[in-house]
Amino acid sequence: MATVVSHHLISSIASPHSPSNSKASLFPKEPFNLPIKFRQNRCFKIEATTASQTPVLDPLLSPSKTTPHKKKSNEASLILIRHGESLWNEKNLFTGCVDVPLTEKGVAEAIQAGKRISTIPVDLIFTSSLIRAQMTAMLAMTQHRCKKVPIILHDESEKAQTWSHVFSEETRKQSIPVVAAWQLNERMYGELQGLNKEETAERYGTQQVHEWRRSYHIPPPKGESLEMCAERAVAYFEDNIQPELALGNNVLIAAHGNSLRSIIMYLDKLTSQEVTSLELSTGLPLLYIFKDRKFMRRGSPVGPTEAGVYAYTKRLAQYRQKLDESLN
Amino acid sequence: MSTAMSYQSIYSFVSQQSSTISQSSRQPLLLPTKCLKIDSSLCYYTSRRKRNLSKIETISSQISVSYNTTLLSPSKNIIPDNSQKKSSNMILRSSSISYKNHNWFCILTLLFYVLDEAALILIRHGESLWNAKNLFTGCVDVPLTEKGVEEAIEAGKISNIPIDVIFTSSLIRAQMTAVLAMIQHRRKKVPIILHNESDQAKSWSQVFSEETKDQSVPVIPAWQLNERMYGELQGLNKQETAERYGKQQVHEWRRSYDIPPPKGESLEMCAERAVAYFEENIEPKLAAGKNVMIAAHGNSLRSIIMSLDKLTCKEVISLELSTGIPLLYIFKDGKFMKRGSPVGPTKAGVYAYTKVRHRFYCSTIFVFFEFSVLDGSLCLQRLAQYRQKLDESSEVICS
Repeated sequence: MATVVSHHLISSIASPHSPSNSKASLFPKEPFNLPIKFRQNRCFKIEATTASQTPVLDPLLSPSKTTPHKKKSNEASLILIRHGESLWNEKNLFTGCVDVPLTEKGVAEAIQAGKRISTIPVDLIFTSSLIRAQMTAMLAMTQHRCKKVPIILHDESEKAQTWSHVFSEETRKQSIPVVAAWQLNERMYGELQGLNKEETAERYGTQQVHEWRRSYHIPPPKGESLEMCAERAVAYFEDNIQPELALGNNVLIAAHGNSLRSIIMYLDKLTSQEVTSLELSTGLPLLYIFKDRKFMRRGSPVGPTEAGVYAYTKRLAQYRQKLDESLN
Repeated sequence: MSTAMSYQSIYSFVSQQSSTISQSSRQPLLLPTKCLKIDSSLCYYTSRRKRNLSKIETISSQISVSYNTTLLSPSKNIIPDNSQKKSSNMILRSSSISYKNHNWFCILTLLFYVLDEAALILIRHGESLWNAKNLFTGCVDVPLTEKGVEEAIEAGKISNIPIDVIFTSSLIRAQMTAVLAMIQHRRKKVPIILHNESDQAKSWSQVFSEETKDQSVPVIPAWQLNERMYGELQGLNKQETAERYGKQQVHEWRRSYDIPPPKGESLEMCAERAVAYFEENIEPKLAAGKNVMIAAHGNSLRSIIMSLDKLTCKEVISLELSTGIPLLYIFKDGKFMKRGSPVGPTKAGVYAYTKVRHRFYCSTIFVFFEFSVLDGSLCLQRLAQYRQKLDESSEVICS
């Protein structure tokens, strides 16, 4: 596998992992100054790291604060949120990759989702390049108790990178990088995009439409099949997200029905039959724990107002306790 | 002297009235034909199939008056149903404006299109997470707070002018402001962000239904409308900055026109790229009669306003733009006329733009305290009634 380094997210992880020390921010310490050719394939891969070593993604950047070793966390949480109602959902139109925003209801769903994950640590956020997923992530994080500020990384050009650089270490520590990736976009619906169910049934026949919507392999005209969507989404996940989890970084993914199903198919090892019938609720976050290279499904976190304390793992319980203490 | 703009205009918010409109109060809009301009195609005796119809329809569809929802449907088939069977129907009849409820005023608003005028609305985004923390933001892509979200939604409520195209910066706080404002926009069209970053992005975001496209407003993100880039100050708070560079220096950067912070842009540099973009991409749209909304940032909008109002450097430095309050300009004959800021929907009032001309072009626009002579006694009567009603009910604020 190529180890082209085109992004760096982790500049240094300073402190040994323990609930009482916050991790240093993953926010880039230096503006990216990688040559364009490294970025063209638009995925970033991290050099394989040994268990005790801090990874340095960017060979041009020598971290100013590397600790000799970091006690690698052996556990990380992965949260998946499907965005809420969009303006075309409301009108019952096939959306796909058309960049349609949320309705008020969708905004409310995002905020609700945020309340549910307000005590689960988040170090890094991945979203698609569509605004409904980005808004969902941003709105959810307004509710998070850590009070860190999500900041969208811009790498579309060198200028965009240098222009969006943050020059204060303290501010970086209080920031959560957000990576927008087209590979996490909704399944591209080709010629169905913008059509409503009626129009589509008229144009193509009810039978055919049912086939596209329910099959795994068959793409609508000029569109993607679920299989094709899964291919690019899972590839992105494996190349970019999983390594972060392996390093102990807690990740939030705000994306779409089909891209998330694809990832869940990978996490839970579902068959193609099972995945086509998988329905993800909107606005209800799903939690997975990544540990020892395995993903353990932990369902949906209960909201903070609901009675009862849940702690899926000891580490999460400690994090929650720390948040409670910091309020007092 | 500060040219802080506190915009006060009177603004009529139709929605307040619309709920009181009853079906039974339908009356035809009695505008004498000779008052109507435009190829006579807007003559109310014209059959529905005249060319400009679709324009009016699209406009009228945004009017709250369409309690009868199919009023003038935005589709090209026109025809609102109820009273529509008669071919002699006046186009505007279906809008059923009850004069008693100011809504005929809105009908007129539609026709403002025929005047080759275009509206330009500027909105500065609301509070961002770094505003709340008092950090220099610049081009760092920081999102809105809950308050900023509310400000954006509020901004949409008081915007009654149909929008044909939206320009924003490449930063999410401006994009969120634009789309959240459109949630409340009366016209109910769906803003869709255009993606041009690659061929794939373009082809993947294509829409394949004409009808859906008609119901969409394109949103064009442009980095040239970004906030002024603050260089090495980005992420610093005021204290840190004063410590690092000295108060004097910081004051100079913030208040000067042409001195940039280290590795950053001066206001002049920001103005250069923002105004250039405006002239090349936005002005042509306005010239073509499209109504444009720009959702952007303090400095990029000031730069544009400097160009629109022909302000001097000194004036622009002290210009303060309120967040979340739309500013309206009318573009006509190559010129921009500032029309202030609408008063919130909770306050009754009339939004007054330009004078009604002698040849009554059915534009909404009239200066509150002046009337030109209008043709058509009926018009005059209605206007007088309308004015009286406003006098009775509204809090009129004039700048």
